[in-house]
Amino acid sequence: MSARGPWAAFWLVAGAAALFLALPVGAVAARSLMGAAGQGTGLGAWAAAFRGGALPEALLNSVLAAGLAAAIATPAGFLLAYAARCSRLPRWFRAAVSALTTLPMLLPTITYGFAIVYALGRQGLVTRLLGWQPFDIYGLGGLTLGYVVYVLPIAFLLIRNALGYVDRRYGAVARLMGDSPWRAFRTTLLRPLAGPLAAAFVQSFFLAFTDFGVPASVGGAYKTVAGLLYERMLGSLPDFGVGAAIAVCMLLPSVLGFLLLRRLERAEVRYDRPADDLPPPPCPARDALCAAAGLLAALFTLTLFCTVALVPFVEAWPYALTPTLRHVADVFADPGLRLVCANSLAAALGTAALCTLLAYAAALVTVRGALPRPAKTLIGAAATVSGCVPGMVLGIAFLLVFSGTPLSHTLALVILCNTFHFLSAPYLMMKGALEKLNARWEATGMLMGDTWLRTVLRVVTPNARDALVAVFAYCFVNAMVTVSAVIFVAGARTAVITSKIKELQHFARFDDIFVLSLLILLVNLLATALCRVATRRAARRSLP
Amino acid sequence: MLELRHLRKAFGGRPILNDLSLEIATGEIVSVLGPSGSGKTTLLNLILGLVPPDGGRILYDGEDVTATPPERRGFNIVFQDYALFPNLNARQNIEYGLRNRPGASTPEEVRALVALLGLEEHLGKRVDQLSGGQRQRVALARTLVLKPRVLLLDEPLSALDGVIKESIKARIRQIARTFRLTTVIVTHDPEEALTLSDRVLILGDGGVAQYDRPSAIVGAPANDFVRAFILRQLEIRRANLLSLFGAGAR
Repeated sequence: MSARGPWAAFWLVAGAAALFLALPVGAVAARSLMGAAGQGTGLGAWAAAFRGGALPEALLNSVLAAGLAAAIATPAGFLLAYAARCSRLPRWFRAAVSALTTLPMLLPTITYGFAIVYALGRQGLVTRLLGWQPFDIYGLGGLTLGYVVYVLPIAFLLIRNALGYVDRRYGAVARLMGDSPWRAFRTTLLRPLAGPLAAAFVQSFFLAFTDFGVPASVGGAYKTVAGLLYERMLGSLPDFGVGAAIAVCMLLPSVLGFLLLRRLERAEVRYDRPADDLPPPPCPARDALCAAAGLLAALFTLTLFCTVALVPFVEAWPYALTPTLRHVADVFADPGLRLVCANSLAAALGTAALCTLLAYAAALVTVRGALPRPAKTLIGAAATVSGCVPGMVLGIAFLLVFSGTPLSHTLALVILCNTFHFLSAPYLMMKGALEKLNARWEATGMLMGDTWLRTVLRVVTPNARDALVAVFAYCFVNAMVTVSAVIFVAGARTAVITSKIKELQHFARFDDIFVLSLLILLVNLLATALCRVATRRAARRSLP
Repeated sequence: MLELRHLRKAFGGRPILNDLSLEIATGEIVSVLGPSGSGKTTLLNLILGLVPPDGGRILYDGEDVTATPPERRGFNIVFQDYALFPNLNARQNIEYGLRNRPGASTPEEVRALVALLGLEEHLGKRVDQLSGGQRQRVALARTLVLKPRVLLLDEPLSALDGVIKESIKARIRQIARTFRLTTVIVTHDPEEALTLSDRVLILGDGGVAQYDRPSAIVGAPANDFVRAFILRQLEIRRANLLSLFGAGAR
């Protein structure tokens, strides 16, 4: 059997991962060991990083805020997922809970920070409506809140998917055998969900720990690792050696968290064929609790989004509240801002195309290529390991390796950086989809004279269409909202919206920031809608 | 004639087939019968060339094809789950191989084959609009347009309802006779094997337990394994049917 096609895909993924993942990340680690001045070797950079106690303090602060956020987001995510999947609330209500809970994923994290400021700050929307400020938003409170907004959707999705694998018949059996509702809930729902709940906590923690957008907007004087790292690399007194050492400090816990997640995945309970035709048993108390949780979450999300949608449409919040389209017109009249919008779109489309291609090639190799096991394992590892490299670390890695090369400050580099920043989830999505397809197609095609590549193009690809569209949309949306990596990679001519937002913050141009954020939101809503239309049309085609 | 000489295959140190030798005449229908894990599917994969043997040779009309890649052996298979391509309709599935080998069948021959399999009114349907029996026939047609020298069928009846089974059985026999096609059928059902084929190969303990005409197997089982594995099942079934019809007559 000819294995030329699978080998070509293998070398594509392996070569790209070596060049744009292994090499840059290795370079960061090496740079941290080159001594403070960047010549010779030594631990000088590490010593400098820990001198003065700023880094230990920042580490502690980051762990505290991220831990708090994960501790809030995990139970909240569970409650909302439970409301969406296991309650008897009306279908539209459950759909609305899902949609509103995941809505923040369509905005950059840096925007939530500013939204929190404009909603809960001293002159904020909520503060003015209430007449008093609920809590101080600069520092731990605001930071934690921002992180929760960021990670709640992810915790929610993880737990909601896991709930889809829990068989309701077990609950019915437990009740039939005389268990109390609470005991049945514990043994047939909570216990099988222990793995996913732990995974949601770990995932939330590390997303928050490595996030840059929230501390950049509401961190205030509260030092975080991300803030410190930014300061060392792009601040007034940059020191790449110290920056590299801090980057390694951010990378190592992420690698640990990644390994922990893999462990938890293996411990996951998966029933073969969960029966979802069995409705949840009636329980008014449960439904009331779920409704309250859903309403609270909806109120919270809507408050933030209303703030974002309101502020840029008044003359000068909070002093002149006359409605105006001036700020929107200003943004579109500014050629610099028009350029970043075009850049963002181009970068997002390019990232979506490249990331989908690489994820598909990697999944084809591991699931459908007749290659030796070590080759498949290597590609699987290369594709998933990107998930444990924080965006900031990857961005710094690209900055260190590609500065001065022809790639430096090009959109191509932004696209490559985003691609390897996101690759992990698209790969896993593609792998899951390809595993569900009939395993005999390649053999069948070959016996009818196809090469492997031809069967892939004529049969596998058309049947994997929905997954490809979903992966494309996922990469597009993420590329539109990401800030952590691109901030180090985008140049003056290749700035994207999110990196521009960071810059506009310096000039306190918050109206522009919100207009640009709304633009991202609209583009992302449009992209997800288009993706839905595309997959629905495909589904309609395959209905009788 | 298809000849297997001293074929050996082990997986992870566990021998599945051990020194298997047999001959299948051109145009003959042979069923391969055996308990699960006896190497039925492995045998199919070896004949097809999807897995290489650890030892032994495969010959077709005297030519050694052991090292020939599967796509050049001229053998073909209908898998148990048919492996039809859902993005294509019935006609596109049937004509799939003709894009690579345009000369394999003339349009007239394809039309005749479609008629023989009773698929005329289903050609425009997508795979998910076809019934199990229709899918089976589309898969058969897709394989037959390439005019294989040997046709392999993996559990061709297991996914079908009782009534359709008999008509598909008749169809398979008709095709083998019409095209003088050497046909190897893997099954786990003794009744199916004994009523469908010219000769039956019973696998046990990694080798040939018995390879003979159905009447010979029923009349003179070669050993206790054949007696226990094949005849017991058939006798129980016969007893069940007789008592059923006996009770109805009373």
